Amino acid sequence: MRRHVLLALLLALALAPGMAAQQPAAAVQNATLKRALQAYDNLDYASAIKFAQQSLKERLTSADAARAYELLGFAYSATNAQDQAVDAFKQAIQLDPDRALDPARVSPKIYSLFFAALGQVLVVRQLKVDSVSFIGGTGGVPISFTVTSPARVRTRAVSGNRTILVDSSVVTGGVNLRWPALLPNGDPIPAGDWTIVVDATAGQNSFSASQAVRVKLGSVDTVAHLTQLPGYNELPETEVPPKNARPLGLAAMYTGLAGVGVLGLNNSNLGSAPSREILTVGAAALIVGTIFTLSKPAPRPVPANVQFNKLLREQIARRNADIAQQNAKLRQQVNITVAPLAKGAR
Amino acid sequence: MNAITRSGLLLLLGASAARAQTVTIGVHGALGDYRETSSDLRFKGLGGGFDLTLNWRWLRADASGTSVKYDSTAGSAFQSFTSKEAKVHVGYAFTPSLIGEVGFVHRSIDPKFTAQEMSAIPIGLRYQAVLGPGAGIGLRGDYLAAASFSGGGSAGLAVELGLFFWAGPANGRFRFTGDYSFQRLDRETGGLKTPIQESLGKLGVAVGF
Repeated sequence: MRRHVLLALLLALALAPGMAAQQPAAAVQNATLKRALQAYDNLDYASAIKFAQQSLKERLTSADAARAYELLGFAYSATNAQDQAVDAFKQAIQLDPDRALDPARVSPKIYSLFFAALGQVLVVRQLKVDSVSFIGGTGGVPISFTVTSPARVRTRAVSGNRTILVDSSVVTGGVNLRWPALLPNGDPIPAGDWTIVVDATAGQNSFSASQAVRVKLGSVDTVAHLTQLPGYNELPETEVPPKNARPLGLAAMYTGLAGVGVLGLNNSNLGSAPSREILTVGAAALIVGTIFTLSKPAPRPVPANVQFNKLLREQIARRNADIAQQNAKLRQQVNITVAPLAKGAR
Repeated sequence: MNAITRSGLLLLLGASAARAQTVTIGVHGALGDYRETSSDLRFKGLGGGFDLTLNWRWLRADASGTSVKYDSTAGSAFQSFTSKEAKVHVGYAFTPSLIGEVGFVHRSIDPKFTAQEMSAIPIGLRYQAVLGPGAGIGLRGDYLAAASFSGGGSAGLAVELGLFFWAGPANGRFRFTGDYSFQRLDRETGGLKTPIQESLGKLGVAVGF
C-alpha cells in the first residue's frame, strides 16, 4: 500500500509541472473545470476525473472542452486507465488538432498515450503557410502540415467562388508543398484574401484545416541604368601642357630666316637691303611669339584618354541596352507577396 | 574693273559658294620699299588693302590687293606713283605644314610709266608652324615664272621670299595677321640690267567664317 502511494506521489510530481506548462490556468473560464484542475494539482485524481467529466456536461468553450479532455487524459494516465486516457486525448485532439505535448515536460507514459491517440484520429495539424515574396512563375508559397494517419489529402486555395487545387495525394506524416500561386492559364492569382484549405479523408473519417492568407501583387523592381562602371572612371580628355619658349623660338627662327633670306637675295646694285618692312613684320611676329610663350598654354587633347573614355562610354551604353532589355521583361512580370493572416484577422 | 577688284570678287564668289569651308576676310596696312635700275631710283610708301583666304580640306586659296603710294627718297627728283598689286594663290597641302602653291601676281602703276608694271606666275612652297592654338608662323618662297613688264624685257632671276604669321583666339574667329614679301626681279632689256626690287610689309586684322 505504501509502495502504491509512493508511486502515485512520484507520478503526480512528474505530471504536475507538465500540466501547468501545457495550459495556463488563466485560460480556463469554467469553474467546474477549475475545480478539476485544482483537484489534479492536489493529486486527487478521482475528483479531477469527476469534475472534468462534470464540466464537459456544461457549456464549455472549445478551448476549455479540449482542456477538460486533456485533463481527463492526464488523470486516467495517472490511474493507469490507459484506454480511457487515449480516448480522452483523442477527444482533445479532435477539438484542438494543433494540441501538442512537450516530451521534455511530461512523462513518457503520458506522451506515449497521447501519441497513440494521435495515431487513432485523422486530423491535419500544424498547417502553416510561410510569408513569401517572389516573381510570378519563378517561386511558390511554402505550405506545410502534418496528417496524423494515412489519408487522401486535397489542398486547395479558395477565394470567393474560385478554387485552385494545389495538391491531391495520399499521405501521412509531415507534408511540404509549394503553391506557385498561378491560375491554370499561367497568370498570377488575383490579389486579395485567400484561404488554404487542407481536406483529409480516410474512409468515413475526414478532417479539414485552413489558413487564411493575403495575396498582394506588385510590379517587379527594375534594374537601374548605369552611369559608370564600377572601378572605371573617365579620364581627363585634355591636359595643360607645361609652359615652354617654343612659340618665341619659332618666331625668332622664322623671322631670322626671312631676314637672312632678304640679305642674301638683295641686289647690291640697288643699295643696301631694305630693313623697315622686315623689321616691322618681324617685330610683330616676335611679339606674338612672346605672348604665346608667356600665356598659359591652352589645354590639348589626350588621345589615349579620349579613346579610353570612348570605349568606356560604349561599354556603358552596351550594358544599359542590356539593362533596358532586361527591364522590359521585368515590367511584364508580377511580384507576388503572400502573408498568412492571424485567425479572425479577415 | 582692275585686276585687284577682279581677283577679290572671284574669291568672294568662291567663298560664298563653299559654306563648310573656312573663310577669312581681312584688311591690312602696308609699308613698302621699291627700287628700280639703281640705288638712286628708290621709293618708300604707305598704303593698305584687303586679304581673303579660303581653306577647304587640303586645298587653300588666297587673294590680296594692296595699294601703296610711293614717294621718292631723293626728294622731288622722281615722280611719285601708286602701286596696286594683286596676288592670287591656290595651293595644296601636302602635309598640314607644307603647302605647294601656284598663282598670279600683277602690279599696276599709276600714273603709267612712272615705274614698271609687272605680271608673273608665282610657283612655290610655303611652310608653316603652329605657335599655339589660333596662331602660326611660316615662310614662303616663290619663283616668279613668266615675268613680264610694261617696259619690256625679261627677268632671268625672279623670286619672292615671304614671312607670314597669324594670331588670335583658338576658334579662329578673329586674327591678327602679318605678311612680308621681298621681290627680286633681275630684269634685262636689250642687254641692259634694269633690276627691280620691292619689299612690302603688311599688318592687319581678319575675321573668320
